[in-house]
Amino acid sequence: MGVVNPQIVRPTSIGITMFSPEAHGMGQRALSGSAPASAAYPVDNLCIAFPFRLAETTTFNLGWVANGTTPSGNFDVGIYSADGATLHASTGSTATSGTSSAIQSDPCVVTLPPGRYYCALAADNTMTFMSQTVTAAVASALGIVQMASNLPLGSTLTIAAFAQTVLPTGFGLSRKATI
Amino acid sequence: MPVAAPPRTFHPTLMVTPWSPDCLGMEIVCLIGAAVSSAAVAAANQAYYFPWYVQAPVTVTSVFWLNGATAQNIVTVGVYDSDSATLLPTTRLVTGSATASGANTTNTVDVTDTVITPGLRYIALGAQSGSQTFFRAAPAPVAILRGIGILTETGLTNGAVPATATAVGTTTTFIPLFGVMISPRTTAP
Repeated sequence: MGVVNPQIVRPTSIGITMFSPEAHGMGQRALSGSAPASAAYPVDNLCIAFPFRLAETTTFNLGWVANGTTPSGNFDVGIYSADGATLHASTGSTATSGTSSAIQSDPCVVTLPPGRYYCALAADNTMTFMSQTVTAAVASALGIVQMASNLPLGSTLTIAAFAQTVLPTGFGLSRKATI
Repeated sequence: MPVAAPPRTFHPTLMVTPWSPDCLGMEIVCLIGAAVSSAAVAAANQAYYFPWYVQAPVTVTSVFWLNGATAQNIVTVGVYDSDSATLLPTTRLVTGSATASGANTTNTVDVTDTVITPGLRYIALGAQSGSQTFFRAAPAPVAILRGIGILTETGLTNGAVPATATAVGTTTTFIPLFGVMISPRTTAP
């Protein structure tokens, strides 16, 4: 005899970032106690991704980045499956046009069922992002991964251990069509 | 034959503020480690909106805010519904206002008990005076605050949050300590 036990689900956050309850959230405090600040992207064409989970079917409309003080170059924000085998959606490689320290967004439209995913960012190293100084091993322990030479975001994410001391934290996804 | 069991127990926060897990607590704490401190609002007659992710029905009984060093003119707190497509705040569901009173003092305003149903809602604060201070956090950068859904609205009348919101992405890092109280709680300590 089965028992139906209704779930109570927190609505998905408007914006998914590393700081969100859908991602490692509070774990970010294990990485850094400082506010994000402008820093150069660590490695040219590197892809950085953090895991997140959805408790309900969710539609995303935008990928976004928080520019640093010298926005230039290209970025790409997207969503991979938990095994990295599928790129569900991405902004595509996008030229930075925002002003210093502003938010820049681009369409990244997809509806995803409940489950686990990666939110990924790739950029060239002429860009600056709002970032935090971190210990690579701690970032890895929180699930953050990287992939070399993945700009624009390719169809698969080949997961490798995070090995940087600068972690761009100013990027994510939005359920809204306008931020 | 399936048997309907009671839902898993969920205890909503008794005082919902921007720091609550039901709002943006996790994000705000990750963006700044400092305690809140007194500071003047960004502008007179401006409202600040924060997403409130309601997971189970709750009854709002009162609203409150914590004055900083200067308490001046009218302060208003509201709760808003949201548009299912734009996710922006729409109709005001709850409002409570009073003339701010007492430095470093929590002001509480009783409101008509109102049931807030699960879904995306917003809590909002408006202040009439540009000299009104609140205990607040100022996490940077503002671009990330926009990304996680914080909004503002200018042009309020006498500090009243409007019946229908017209909010846009925030351009300020001002996050005041204010909120709503959930039944059975009705007053500040």
